[in-house]
Order: sequence, then C-alpha cells, then structure tokens
Amino acid sequence: MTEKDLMEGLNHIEDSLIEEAAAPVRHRRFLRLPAAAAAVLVLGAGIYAAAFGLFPPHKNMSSGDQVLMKESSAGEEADMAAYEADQADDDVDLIPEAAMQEAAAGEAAVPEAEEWEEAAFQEAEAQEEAAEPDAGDMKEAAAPETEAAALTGKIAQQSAAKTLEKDGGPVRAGIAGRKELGEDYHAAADYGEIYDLLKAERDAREEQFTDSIAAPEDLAVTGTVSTTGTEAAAEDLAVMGTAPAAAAAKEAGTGAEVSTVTYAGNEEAAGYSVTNVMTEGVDESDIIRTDGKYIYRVSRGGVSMTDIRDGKPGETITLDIPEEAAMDTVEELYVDGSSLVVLGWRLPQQESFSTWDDVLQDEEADIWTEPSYTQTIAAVFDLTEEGSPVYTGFASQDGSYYTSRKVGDMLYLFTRCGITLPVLEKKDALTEEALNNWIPKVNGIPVAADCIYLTEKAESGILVSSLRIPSPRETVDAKFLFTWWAETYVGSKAMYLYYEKYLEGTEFTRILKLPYEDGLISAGAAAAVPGGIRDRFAIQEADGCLRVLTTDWGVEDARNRLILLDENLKETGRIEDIAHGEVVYAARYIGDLAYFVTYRNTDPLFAADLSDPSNPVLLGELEISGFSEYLHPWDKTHLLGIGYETDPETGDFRGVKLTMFDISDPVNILAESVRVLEGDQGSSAIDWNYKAILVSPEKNLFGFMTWRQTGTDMLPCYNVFSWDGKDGFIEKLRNIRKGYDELYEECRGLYAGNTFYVADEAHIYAFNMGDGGKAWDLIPQ
Amino acid sequence: MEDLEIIELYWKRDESAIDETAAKYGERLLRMGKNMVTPEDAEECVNDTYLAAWNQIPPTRPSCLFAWLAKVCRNAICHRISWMQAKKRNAVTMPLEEELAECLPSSTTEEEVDARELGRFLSVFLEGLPREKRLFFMRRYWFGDSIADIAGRFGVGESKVKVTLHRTREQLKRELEKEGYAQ
Repeated sequence: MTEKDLMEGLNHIEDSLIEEAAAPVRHRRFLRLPAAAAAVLVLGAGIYAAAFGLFPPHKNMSSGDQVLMKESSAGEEADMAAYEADQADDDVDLIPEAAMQEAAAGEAAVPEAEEWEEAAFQEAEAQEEAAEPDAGDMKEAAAPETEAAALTGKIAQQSAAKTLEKDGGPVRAGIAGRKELGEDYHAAADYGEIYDLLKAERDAREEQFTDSIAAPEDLAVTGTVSTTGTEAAAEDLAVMGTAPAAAAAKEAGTGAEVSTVTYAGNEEAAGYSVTNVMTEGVDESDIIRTDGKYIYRVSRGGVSMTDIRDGKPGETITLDIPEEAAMDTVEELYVDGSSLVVLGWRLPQQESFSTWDDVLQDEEADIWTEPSYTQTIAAVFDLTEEGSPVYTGFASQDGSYYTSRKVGDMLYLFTRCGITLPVLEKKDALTEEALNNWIPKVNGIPVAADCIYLTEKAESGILVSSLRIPSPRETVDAKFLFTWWAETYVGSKAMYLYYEKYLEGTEFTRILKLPYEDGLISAGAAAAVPGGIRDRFAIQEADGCLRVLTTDWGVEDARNRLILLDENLKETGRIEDIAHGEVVYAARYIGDLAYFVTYRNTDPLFAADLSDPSNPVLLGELEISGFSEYLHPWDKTHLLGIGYETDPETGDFRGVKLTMFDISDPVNILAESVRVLEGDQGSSAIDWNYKAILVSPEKNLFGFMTWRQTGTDMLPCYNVFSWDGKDGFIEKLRNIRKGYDELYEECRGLYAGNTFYVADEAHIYAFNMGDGGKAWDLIPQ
Repeated sequence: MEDLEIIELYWKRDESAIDETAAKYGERLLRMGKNMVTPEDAEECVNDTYLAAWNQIPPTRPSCLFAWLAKVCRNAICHRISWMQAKKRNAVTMPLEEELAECLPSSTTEEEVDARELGRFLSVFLEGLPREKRLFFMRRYWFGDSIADIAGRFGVGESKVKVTLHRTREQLKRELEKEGYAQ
C-alpha cells in the first residue's frame, strides 16, 4: 500500500462527505448540543437554524481580561456566571436569560456613547482644520486618505483620551476615523447596522438552504458577489483596465541609481542576527530569535530560553507564563533586547490544554465539540535582568492569531475572527452585556461600531489592534474588516490587506490600505488590480505609494504586469504583458528599481525602472536556466537569488541553485556567480518562508535549510555560504542530520559573537565561525 | 441553473450543458486543482472533467452533480500528479502525498489495493470522526487546501489545524493496521 493508494482510495469515498466538506462554513462558533437538547432544537427550530442561526454567547473571558475596565467586567462576570450555571444545567448554549435581564438596563447607553464619540471626533477634526498646516501637511491634505493618516497622534489621540475619561459610558476599543474604505467598505453607523447586515446574511442563507438543502455550496471562499458587489467590482476592473500602457524603453542605463536594502539594525551592530523581514524597521515575529545572550524558541507549545553567553548553548529554562496569560499553544515571539513578547492562542479555560503534548496525546478528547472561541494572547516580559524574565502584562484579542508586526514599542496584532448574529431580537442584542457577547473584543472591550468596516458580505473578518508593549492592556486602536481571507503586507506607513476575487472567471486582487502611525490605524483607500499577487515580495510600499506585480492564472497565456499606484491607490502607470506564458516566482524592489523572476523552463530576471510613476519601463532581462524563488539585496551592485536549477529542455529539477546577480547596470544584468547544490531539494525556507532564511551581507553569510539526498535517504541539511567576487559562493557549513527529522524543517540559523547556531524546536547546534575561510567546526556540548 | 436542469441538458446532448457546468462549478473545480497541481495542469484537469461529463452523462445520472464532478476532477488530478512524478517534474505544489504517507502502516502489504474497497473503508473512518476533524481532513486531503486556507475557512489557528490533522493521520494509521492493510 502506498500514499497514492490512499489518494485514489479517497476518490471513492461517499458523496455525502464531499458535499459536507464543500458546504459553506458556519464560523468557528460551534454549538455544544447535548443530545436531548439538540433533539428539541432540531424538532422545534429546524435543522437549518442549527446550521445558520444559533450561536452560543461569547464566554471566553479570562480573569485577566476582567481587570481593566469596570464597565466591561460587570458584563463579563455576569456572562461567566451565567455560563457556569449553563454548564451545570447541561443545557443548550444560548444567551443566558439572567445575563440578558441584567443587560437590559444598559441598552440606552450605546447610542449615547456613540453620539458622544462622534462628537468628540468632530470636535477634534475641527481643531485639526483650524490648525495652521505646515508644508508637509498641505501636501497630505490633498488626498482624502492621507487626511485620515494625518489624524494619527493628534486628533484621534484626543478622542481616545476622552473616550477613556468618559464617566459611566461604555468603553470601546478603537478610534473612529475615516468612514469610507474604498467603494465597498464603510464604517458601521452603529451596532444596529452590523446586526442588520448579519441578519440579512442569515436570512439569505436560510432562503438558500430552504431552496436547496442538499446543494453543495462553496462560494464563501471567493465570495458570492451580490449585484451591488458585482457592479462595484466591474467598475474597479474598468478603472484599472484603462491604465496607460508602458511607454517606449528608456535610454539604457541612465539615471537608475541602484540603492540597497539592508536590515542591519542595532542588533546586528551589536553582533547578533535578526529575523529576515519584509520591511526595514517593521519587525516580524518568529519561532526562534536571539538577543545575543539567549536563544528564545517556541518549543512544545511554550517558550524556552537557552543561555549562549559563553559562546555555546548552556542552561535551558522554560519560560513561566502566568495563568492570566496562559496559552494553549505559543505561535511566535519577539525579542528586542529589553522585552520579550510571546504570542499564542487559547481556547476557553474549561477546555484548555496545558501543553502541545496534551493535545497530541489526548486521543479520545474531541477538542472541537466545545465552542471554540479562540483568543489570541500577547504576553510581555521584561528582560532587563539577564536570565530572569519578569512578566509585566498581557493583551488579549478575540480570534485566532494571524500575524503581527512590531514598530518600536508598538505591537500591531492581527487576528481572524467573525461576528455572529446573536440569537436575540435586535433591541436585546444592542444592550451593553449582549454586545460583549457578539462584538469582537480587544483586551475585553468591544470594538467600537464605527471601527467595524462593513461590506456586502459578513462572513468573517480580520481584527487588527495596536498595543503599546510596555502597557499591553491599553488598546491604542482597533479596526475590524469583514473579509473572508486576506494576505497582509505591512509597509512603513500603511498596512495592506489583499485578497483574490473572481468576477465572471476573471481574477483580480482587491487591496485595502490602512495607514498607520504611532498606533493609530486609519481607513485609507481601496483598489482592485487584475491578476493575483504570486510572491510576498511582489507588493511594496514606497513613499506612501504602492507597487504590485500580478499574474493572471491563465493556462496557456499567463500574463504578468507591474502596476504603480499612488497614495490613494489610483493607478499611475503600468507595464503590461511581461513574460507572456510565464509566472512571477520572486520579486524585490530596490529603490526605484524592480527586479523579478518569471519562469517556465528558463529563468528571466527582469529589471524595471519605476522612477517615473506614470511611465515605468523595463530596462533589462537576463535569461538563465532554473529560477530563483527568493531574491535578497546583497550590496549596492549585487542581488542574491536562491532557487532551483532545472533542465531547460525538460524542466527536470537538478538541485538548489544559488545565483549572485550583478545589477550594477540594470540594463545588462549578469549572473556573476552560480552554484548548484546537486541533489538538494528545497524547503519551506526557499519556497515561501523568508523568515527561515538568514542573510547578513555585513557578516558575509547567508543560510537556509534544504533536504539532501544521501544514498536512499532524504536528510535535512542546514547550509551556510559566504560570497566574494573572486571565489564565488564559499561553503561554510553543510550540517546534515543523521536521520529524518521533521522538526528540522522549521530550523533557524542564528549567530551571536563568533558562534553560529542552528536551532530547531528540540535542538541547538553551535559552530565556531572561525576567522578564516575554513568550514566551521561543531562546538561540542 | 439547478443541477437537475444541467443534467437534463447533458441528457438532451445540449452543448450548453458544459457552459452551465463551467459557470456553476468551474471556479471551484479549478481552485481545487490549483491546490494540487500547477494552474496549467489544473486547467487541463478541469477541461478533462467537462469532457468526461459530456461522455458519461448519459448514461450516468449523478445524484449530486458537484460531488460527481469533483471526483472526476480529482481523479484527473491524481493521474496528472502520477504522470508528472513519472516524468520527474515537480508539478505538485502541495505535499499532500508526503503527509498521507504518515498514515501508512509501518509494515504495509505490497498487494494491490482495491481503491473502491479502500474508499469504503475511508468513508466509514471519516464518518466516525467528529465533524470538525472530518472537515479538516477532507479540506486538506480531498480538496488540497493549504493549512492557512483551512485555518481561515474555519476561523482557527494554523497550529490547531496542524494538530488536528496530525492526530487524524495517526488515528487513520492505526485503523489501517487494524483493518489488515499491514502485513
């Protein structure tokens, strides 16, 4: 029996299983239904109600969540108490009646508070308008989206402060800003509008369900485009489709000064490696990091710290995370020398697992039968005292951890969560306690209605908040957007959510821009560009403007284009029909130049000059065998490519390929050095996980993991190379593990002082980097 | 258009049946294909599916058109993967088979496996799983969704998806051994 047999066997399973898996998802809030209660429910309300309408209250509040705001903690306590009673009765999960009665008193507070917040916003806005703008402000004021950005640190901060000072009124997370986000999104006027949207959605589903109870529907992934949505999308396409074509080629080699990108910060200057990130100055969390003194690892669901102050791995301790910030699983972490931020998630406390192993070993437990209100946690530790991290606090945010960024001491936390229609009449759903049960919360506080952006669909969404790391319980801002799925790119001035949609078989990418500054997150512009973004580095912000490389997924006539968008995401120029029939595999923008790799059987590396936003021009192209999956600026005149070598005739893979491109003349790009690691196969590092690649031109080294064919075995191998113009790529380390080890796929290479470490969840190997050209020696432990 | 109406078009040998099929299910089939093979191959597999539908309906009258089409399409994808692997072309974009290899009993029989019989066994196994486990497994190994897509679809963390899939694979491995797929 082989895995192919299993694949084929799956082709013969019952149709009902396929239908079930293809059906739309009722989001994440699963009913906990004892058999008797379920029977009553089914008989009384019909099957479809269970499928679409009835959701339990939100009751994942930890004790830690209840310490900050009295206004919200009362509701949470009532909710928790009601839940315990609910548990004791082993009853169907509905909004507890007792809690609802208590909640009724707070009903009138909602509009009052919103009116107050709106007034505060308007007042602040008036102050801003009255202020004497300087030259920089004048420039920004020209664009409506940048007006929103200009609120940062000024108006909205005042509004936030007033919100927190308001006596007796409900406290909300998030600061109201611009109402519109492109044509398709707008901030909710109040919670009632959100309720109405969810109810309309639910009613439509019921109707669909009633019409065709067995019809499999999987439209949720791409979204069933409503009439309104279709028209809007068509308009988007029409706008983007009329972009000016690229003008004639620019005079060769003129004016294209090549700048370089380096991510060397204070850490590298201090002699230790940092995580490879997309945007300089915007840090990204990872599973393994170092501060030069310790190696911090996400390990077996927790965090371990290994002392490396002696230049080799010493004592390892497990981080003690207090109960209030307890996580079922740690996902990633930040360490910046003075603080450690641990990011993870937890399920409701009554069903939490203490370790990863518990989950794996608990064979009989069904972790999904309980309501799964995943909550993301950011626990903060002070690292001032070496070897003794001091817990200083935590932040909580509804939803499962998606990604995060850290700029200075500001943490931007992205979670995926939905908003589910409560099983209440509208007036009851808008009471303060009821809102606590169905509106997503940051630090236990519901997101303000006018920070929730609605579109035609209300399936699921992304919640982004900003939290100051020294005081994580104080939410600076929060925004929620309904969007089924979106990739995230965070530039230095704005964060962008983008996702693919289809309209009558045509693929396009919708981009939503959220400018940010010092924790304030504004609603910016939105756009739709044809095709899909194939590489994480194919989108980049530069001076507030955006560049994207997109590819149509067409079969025989794949088309690539490079589109330039201004601050308002209006197209200023594009290059069309690049590498007809090929697909973008890797991209990198360096200053006003774009480099990108397309591939079919050979690898053209293109260079394009973007210095004139209205007239981007292809400058040069180099065609060699194979292709690069990852590009990294090495110095002002060189670009490192890591990818694969292939047979140009057959396309057969031959191994991992390293290429150093000479880009001193973008018109005449050269492959200065090439090395093929024959027999090596790629890894997640090469294919998609840029954070698993270490690149340090300052140290003249780069490292990544491959799978190496050794005899009949495929063994994990960590590779480190240096490069110089004379000798090309010089092997410094080829650390091949003796046996198959899946953990090694997620290893990281780090250095501190003169020691290089290869670390995974369970192991750390140390190597003396020496001071010459020799390969490195393993340091015995 | 309702499935029954589309099937009726096939029975009437009306070529618009293919257009209607493509309009209603083409995107979903293509997405499933792209999860497992290159976009180019996925497109071919979907076209093969339309051709199979034209050739097999009639006499076939699928009770659920999408499930029927998806099976045909997935079968085409599996064959395409086998062909590409035989040609040593790295066409597979998802390591599904490698993951499924974890389900194989440590000492497996070399006898030819009856795919239909295995399909029946897998149906029983999957139907016995908690719903969410079953859905994760199906989305991953039937529709080829990425871990991230599954996490997004169900609004849970990727780690949760990985843990659940890991447990399900281990469970399937034990059940396969019990069922006699081991020597």
